[in-house]
Amino acid sequence: MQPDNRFQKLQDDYLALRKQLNSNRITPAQFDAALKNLMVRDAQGRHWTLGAKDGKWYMHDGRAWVLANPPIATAPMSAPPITPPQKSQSKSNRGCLIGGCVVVMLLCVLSVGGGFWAYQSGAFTLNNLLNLVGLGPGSIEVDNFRDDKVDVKIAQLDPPKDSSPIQSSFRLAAFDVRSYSVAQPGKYRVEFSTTDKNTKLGTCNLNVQSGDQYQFVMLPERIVVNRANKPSSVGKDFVVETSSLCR
Amino acid sequence: MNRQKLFLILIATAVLLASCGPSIVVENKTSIPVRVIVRAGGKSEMVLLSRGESLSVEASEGVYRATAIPDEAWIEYAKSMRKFFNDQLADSDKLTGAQLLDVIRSLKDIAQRMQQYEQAASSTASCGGRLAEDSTGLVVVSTAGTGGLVISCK
Repeated sequence: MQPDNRFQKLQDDYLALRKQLNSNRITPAQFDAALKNLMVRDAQGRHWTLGAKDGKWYMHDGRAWVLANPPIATAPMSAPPITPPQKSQSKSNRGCLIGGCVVVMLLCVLSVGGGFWAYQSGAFTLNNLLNLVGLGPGSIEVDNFRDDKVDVKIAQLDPPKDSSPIQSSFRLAAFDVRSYSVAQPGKYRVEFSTTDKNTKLGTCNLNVQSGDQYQFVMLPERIVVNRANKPSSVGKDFVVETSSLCR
Repeated sequence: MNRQKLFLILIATAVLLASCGPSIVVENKTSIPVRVIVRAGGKSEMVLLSRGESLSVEASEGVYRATAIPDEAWIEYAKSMRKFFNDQLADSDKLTGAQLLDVIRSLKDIAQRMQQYEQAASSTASCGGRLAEDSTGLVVVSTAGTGGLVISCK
């Protein structure tokens, strides 16, 4: 093959590759890989190739690729020098962006739909939401496992200034279970007594924080206490009389 | 508005919401004592109703579910738990790690057992409804022709 033809052929191959790249028939990576094979050697032993980005002729001077005119005349490029990798990559990025947006929108729709369903079904409540930001209520559950009725009094010990303390009381029949929502976290006194003779059974001063779930199980001999969301690892903490939860 | 004011407003709103919540009146029209589990707003309560008795249960706005079970079934379970806690906690400061875990597991089991009753209840022994703000729901427990418990939510 004559040298002239080799330069012209390289240029034709380059343009063909560029065309394929522009029509997205090959990827930028495939274009770069194919371009590495497009190289000719002139009579002086110097290597020539076309720039991937600018489509101009480059010659290797023994140390680096330098811009140069080929030793023969080649037909002018029919296509302007372009930067297909960037252009193609931009298209690819746009595709990813659109795909990402669709995924994000789908996730949003699923989240809103799921949230609505959870709220409607009662699985997720306003209290759950408030607990997530530390402003939710705590709860006090009392399980009366005694054979008699008991009265439970709950009183707030540290009400905010200029407001009266929250107080509540309720009665439980034998083996009733009842829960009380502590809307305002803080210190509370919980008093237990029998209904019939008003005998005091025990008192617990609790520090109720958002999301705390205190559980009391009233037994004939003692009252069990547990912070269900963070149980203690010390046995005596489970009995009101000795529990550090009740100080 | 500073954070402290915002916090106080949120607290006041929460207190207001809690104090003005709806309630559910539960009636027992059977001839036996029954237990009714009322679950609303992520919380549950179990109340005893002797025959002909009715009582009011505090609830929160939204959906609620009520389940009726014969009192005997619950009493039997509760008494077994009572014995367990009495035995385990008689000397609470000498509990081993394994015993401690048993106690914690058993305390959790009380709520789980209530859930099991709800799940196992027949379609006629369980019902649901929705409470609007400041409204009162009505749950009536009666006896079916077959002798089983029937519950309705209005």
